[in-house]
Amino acid sequence: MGFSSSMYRDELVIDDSTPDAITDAPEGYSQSLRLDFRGPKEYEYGDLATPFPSNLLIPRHEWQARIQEMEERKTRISDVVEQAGLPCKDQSQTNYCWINAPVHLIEVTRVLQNQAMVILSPASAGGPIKGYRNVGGWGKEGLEYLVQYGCVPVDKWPANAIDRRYNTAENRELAMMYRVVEWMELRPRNLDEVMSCLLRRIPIAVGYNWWRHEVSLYDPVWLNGQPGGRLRNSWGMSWPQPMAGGYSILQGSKLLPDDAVCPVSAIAA
Amino acid sequence: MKKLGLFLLLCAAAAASAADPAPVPKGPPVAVKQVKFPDFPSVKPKVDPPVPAPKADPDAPAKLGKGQYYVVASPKPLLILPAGTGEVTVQTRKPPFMLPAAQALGWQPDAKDPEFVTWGDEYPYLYVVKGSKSGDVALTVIPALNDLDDKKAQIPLAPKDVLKKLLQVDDGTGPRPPPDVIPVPKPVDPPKPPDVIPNPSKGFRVLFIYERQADLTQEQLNILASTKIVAYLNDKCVKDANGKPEFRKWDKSTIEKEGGLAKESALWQQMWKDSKDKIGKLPQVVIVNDQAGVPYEWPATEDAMLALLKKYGG
Repeated sequence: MGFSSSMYRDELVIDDSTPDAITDAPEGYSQSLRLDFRGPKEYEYGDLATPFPSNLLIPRHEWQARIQEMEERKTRISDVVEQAGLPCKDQSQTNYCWINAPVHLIEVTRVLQNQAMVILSPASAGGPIKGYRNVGGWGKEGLEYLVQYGCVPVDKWPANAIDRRYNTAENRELAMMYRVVEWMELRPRNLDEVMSCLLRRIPIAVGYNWWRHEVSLYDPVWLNGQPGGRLRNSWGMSWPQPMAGGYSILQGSKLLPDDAVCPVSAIAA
Repeated sequence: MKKLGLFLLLCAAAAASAADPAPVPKGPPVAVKQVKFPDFPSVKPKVDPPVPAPKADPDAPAKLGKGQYYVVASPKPLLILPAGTGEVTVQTRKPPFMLPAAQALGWQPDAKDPEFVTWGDEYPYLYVVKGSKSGDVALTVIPALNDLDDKKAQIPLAPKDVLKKLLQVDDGTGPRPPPDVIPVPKPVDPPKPPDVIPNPSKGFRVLFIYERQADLTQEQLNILASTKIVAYLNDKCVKDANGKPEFRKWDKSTIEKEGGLAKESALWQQMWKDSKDKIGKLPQVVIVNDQAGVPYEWPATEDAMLALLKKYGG
C-alpha cells in the first residue's frame, strides 16, 4: 500500500464523487461566493496582486516525498496552527465566507510569524466593503481591502456584526495593525501553483464556483496516489462533523479554485 | 586523441539529456543495486602519480574542491535536495557517462584506463553535484518514486530511505598553501559571528529573518514551520508583558516597507535597528542572550538550527 496522508479526526474527503448534499451549508450558514458580481474587465488575473512567481513552482515528482516529510516532521501549517490553538472562523448567519477566509489567513500568517494570536472580525472588513449589506463577494476583493485598511480584533468589533456603528476612528486606527503587506494571486484552476504554495507553507484563500463558497487551504496532502489540499472552513469548529475543527480535504477537480489569493506576510505588530 | 573524442561525445550526449527530467522507467524495474555514493576521502589525495585513497569515514563531511564532482549513482530516480545557500548545483546525467578520475573523487578509476571513471547501464540515474561557492551544505537524498509491492501498490518510504550527506565545498578562493605542502583540512568550527548585536533588554530572544518569496529549500521551509523549534522557543525565550515568548519570524521585504515596524514594540524596533546592518545573506537568525547577540546563516537542517539555539538558550 502506498503512502497516504494521515487524516484528522472527523475530517471528510471531498472529491468528484462526493454528493453535493455533503458539502451544502449546514442550517443557519450560507455559501456566498459571488464571482458573478465582478464587472467586465474587473479583477482580472494579475491586475492587483503579484502573480505567483514561476520560480517558486515545485515539480510534481517532488510532491509526495515533500508531503510525507512535512507530515513526519510536523512542519505543516495545520501543525503550527494547532500548536498555537487557533480556532477556525464561524460566519454564522452572514453571507461573508469570501471575507472570512482572507481574514482568517491574516490570523494564520500572524501565528506563523509568532505574533500574538488575535481573533479578527471579518465583518470589520466585509461591512465597509459592501456598504454594510449582508451579501456575497470574493476573496480578491476582500484581500485588496485588507492590504489597505486591515481589520479589527473581535473584542472591538464582533466577528459577524455588519454594523457601521463599530466603524469608529479608534477602530480604523487599530485595524492598521492587522493588515496584509504582501500578497499573491494564483492562476484560476492551476493545480501546480496551488500545491507549490501549500508546499511552501503559504496558505491560500480559495473560492469555488462549484461550491459557491470560499475557504482557507492550509496543507498539501497525498491520498490514494493523488494530491489534495486540507481546507479550513468558516462554518464553526463542528463542521463537517463534531470533532473535525473545521478541517476537510479537497481532491480532484474540487480542489481547483476559481479565485485564489494568499497573504504572504502580515504587518509586524 | 581517440579517447578525448569519445569523452567529449559522451559529455555532449549527457549535457543534451540533462535538460529533461529523468523519465519514469517503463517495463520491469531494473533495480538490482543500491544507491551508491562516492567513497569520498577526507584528505585530498595526489592524483599523479596515483596513491591509494585514505579510508573514508561514511559520516564525515566530504570535501569538494574546485573542479571536482560528487557523483551519486542510483538504479532508481532520486530527489537530491541541497539545503544550503547555493553552495552546490545538482545536474542529472544518463549513462554512459565519463569523467576524468581526478574530478570524480571517491570512485574507482577504470581498470583498463585509470585516467577515467565510467558509469554504465548498471546505474541508469546519475546525479552530479558541483560546488558553486565555499560553505557547508547538507544533501537530502530521497527516492523520487516509491517501490511497488506484488499488487502494484506503492510501498511507503521509511526513514531509512531518506539519506543525508554533508559536503564541505571549497571554491578555491581562500588562501593557497605553499607548494609541495599537502593541504591539511581545517577543523570544522561553527560559523564565526561577524558582529555583535546589543540586547536591548535582558533575556533570550531570537529573530528569524528571511525573504518569504525567495526560493527557500525544503529544509529551510521545515525550519520556518518547525513545531519543534517553536516549542523550544516557547519554553526558553523571555516573555513579554502579555506572556508572549520573545521570538519573531520576519519577512525582510515586509519590515523594510515604510512603517513596516511602526506597530512593533520599541524593544523589537531597537533590535532591528541594531541588527539590520550586521546580518549577511538571507535567511539569517539573530540570537541574543543576556549580554548581546550574533547573527548566523541558517544551519542546514531543522535539527542543526535547534542545536544552535540550544547553545545560547540552554
